[in-house]
Amino acid sequence: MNEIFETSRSYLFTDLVLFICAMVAIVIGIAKRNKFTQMKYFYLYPLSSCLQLIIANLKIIYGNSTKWFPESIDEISLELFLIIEFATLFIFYKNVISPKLFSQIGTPILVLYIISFVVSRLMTNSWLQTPFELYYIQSVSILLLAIVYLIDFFNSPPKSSLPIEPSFIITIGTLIYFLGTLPIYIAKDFVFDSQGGITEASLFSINLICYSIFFLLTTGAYLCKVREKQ
Amino acid sequence: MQSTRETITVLVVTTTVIILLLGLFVLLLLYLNQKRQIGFQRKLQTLQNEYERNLLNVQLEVQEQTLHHVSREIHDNIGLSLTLAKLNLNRFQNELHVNSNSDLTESVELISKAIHDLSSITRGLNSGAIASNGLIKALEEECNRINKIGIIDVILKVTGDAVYGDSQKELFLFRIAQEALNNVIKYAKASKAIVILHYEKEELRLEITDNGRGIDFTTTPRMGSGLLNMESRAKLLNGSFKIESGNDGTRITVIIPIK
Repeated sequence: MNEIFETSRSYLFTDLVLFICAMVAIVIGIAKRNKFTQMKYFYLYPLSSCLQLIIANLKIIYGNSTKWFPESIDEISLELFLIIEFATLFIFYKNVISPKLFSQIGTPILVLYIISFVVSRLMTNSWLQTPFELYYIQSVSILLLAIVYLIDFFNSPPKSSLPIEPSFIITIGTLIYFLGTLPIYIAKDFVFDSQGGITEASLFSINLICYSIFFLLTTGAYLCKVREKQ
Repeated sequence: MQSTRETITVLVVTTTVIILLLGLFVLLLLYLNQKRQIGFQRKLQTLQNEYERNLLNVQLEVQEQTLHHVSREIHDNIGLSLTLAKLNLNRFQNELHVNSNSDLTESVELISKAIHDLSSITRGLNSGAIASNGLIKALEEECNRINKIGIIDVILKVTGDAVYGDSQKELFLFRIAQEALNNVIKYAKASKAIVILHYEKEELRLEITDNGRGIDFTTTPRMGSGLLNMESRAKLLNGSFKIESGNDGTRITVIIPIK
């Protein structure tokens, strides 16, 4: 337990904040999963983040030598988390962007993402370690979808006030996370070592804070009132 | 070490700036959406008003056409039948050489009166006749018709320099006065009513005042269908409609722009 506390302290306890925020988002998300069609599976996002955090902490406790955890379990959980992150956000934007516009933008993004995912794995010859280039591609893809959503939103007749529009809240969360963490990934050499390990934990806490904000906004989005059909 | 610290500072500052800019961006979006919503609501309201106006116009047009149709039917069928009946009775009167005090003569007189009354009513209903005679003439005829009934005494006063407005406007004003006078006869228990038509440079004021018991808004709805009709017509003319009522009578004022 002492190792977890020490690690958490190096992250300025932002991992604990993230864990709490993710847990709240999971509970509210599961309870309200049928409230908004576009957010039916969105709770899987904080759930996968939470699981990844738990696995990373268990790895800290048990180390690499235990028989209970394969050596690469944290890499696998991270891989899964990234895939779930892309999938949930992609499905979310598929449901909120008008179908015609989405078919023009969303489909090429999906194809490019899959190609880059496979190619990056083939080039690095590793299926478990995510190359940084993929983070950029994923970030840019999601940011593009968020911007397209905003353009689409402002091109259609106004439906409701923005602060009570769940799709808008999620989009703000998306922008906060993917734009806010962009500097960390651009200056990756100062934060990560060549193996992808974190060297500057306090700096990496920006990433955890942005995730926490995103999950808080996700909870807020789930708690929005259902708009009456006009 | 110094370089790492600088990089960390730059990263933290960059992230903070991004988040701040994002916050501003969100505020801008909120403002734009608010503006868009207000614009949309305004547009929607304009469309709604226009739709209501058109609907009201169509309703009044249909009403006018119905009145016109009824007036033509009365004139062409009932009027004609009564005229034929009167002619027949005249013929019988001549053939039978009856004296002037007989029931037959009385019947001829009654039919003559009915024909005259019907003619007066059809003129009041017929929008074409109102349009061709003008508002003042139509109001004069309406006042005369009511005076002939003998229930109340109606006076028409025209002040200012009378101008001929467009026929639709005059028809609507006439209908307002007609409805108001009908209400006076039916509910007011008044002995006297004054219709004032005051022409000013920019506007025309129509006032219908009676000395009746007034409208008790505690027992009757604030705006019955008659009053609503009057108000709707005034609105269609871009005018104002005011009703003042007390124990000493009621005054309805309609002001419409002339041009």
